[in-house]
Amino acid sequence: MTASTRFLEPFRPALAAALATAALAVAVLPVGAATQSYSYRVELAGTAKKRHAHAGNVDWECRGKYCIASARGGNVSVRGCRELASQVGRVVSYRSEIKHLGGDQIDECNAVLASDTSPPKGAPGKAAGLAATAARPDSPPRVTTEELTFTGVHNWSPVK
Amino acid sequence: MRAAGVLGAVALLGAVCVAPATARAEIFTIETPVSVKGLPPEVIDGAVTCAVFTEPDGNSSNLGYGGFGSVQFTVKGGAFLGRLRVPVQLDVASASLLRSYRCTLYFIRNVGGERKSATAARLSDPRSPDYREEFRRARGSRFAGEVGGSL
Repeated sequence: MTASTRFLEPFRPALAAALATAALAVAVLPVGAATQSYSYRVELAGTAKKRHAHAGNVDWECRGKYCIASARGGNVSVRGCRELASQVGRVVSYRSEIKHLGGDQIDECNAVLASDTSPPKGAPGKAAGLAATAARPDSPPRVTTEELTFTGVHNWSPVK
Repeated sequence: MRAAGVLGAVALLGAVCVAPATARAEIFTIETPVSVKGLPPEVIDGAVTCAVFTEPDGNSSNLGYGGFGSVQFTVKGGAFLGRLRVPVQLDVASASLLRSYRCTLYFIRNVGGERKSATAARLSDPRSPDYREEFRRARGSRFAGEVGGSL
């Protein structure tokens, strides 16, 4: 077994059943009625909180840090990812055989977990310090990033 | 002998139950200046999410995921100006393993009483399928919906 397929080991019984079901389905379906089905693989940041999940209209099987599923189309969506993350935990990668979510989409997916808590509100202040600077080794780890900025076109009256 | 075995099992079970409560993940703080203005009235909050990686190019490749954190801010009068401290809960043993980070700006809209969030880039990029006219950027203004780099 290669490293790339080792993660499938815990799923061996489920995969065998799925393959048998798929073989039967292919055998009984009329020619041309079969729609392309793709396998999905999701890697989590930690151990899945549950072994079975229904998210994105798909049934997922989770073992350890991985969840797998099979569905038609091969499309991936932030919405489906969010539904899964809210059930099994933080998602690291979310992909089908042909598509995958990008980095910002993964962040957007995981944001659903952050919104479950009440994060501290940011205190207003003057923005400064645009260069990334590492903290001293003896202080808690910290870094300052460049500024995130957006200027839209809506005009507002001054806030009192 | 048998009693000792039972006691050992109970002790082991106790240790397993207590371990998750006492094992606290290390927090890595990312400080991010944020400057937004001219937002449409439907935007009620904003958020910055940060992810860290053990790979030097993880902020672009998404490889070596090492942790995630998010913080929200309140948008008033279509604007927010401030510095946010984003606590990133690490999924790796030590912050010394981290090599890159990425932080992304989100806008949270009130749509029919429902909170909907999307990245500033997706809402304001005319090439994005999620683009919305009310999020178009002011002509000549600087835009940074995502920042990232080395650690």
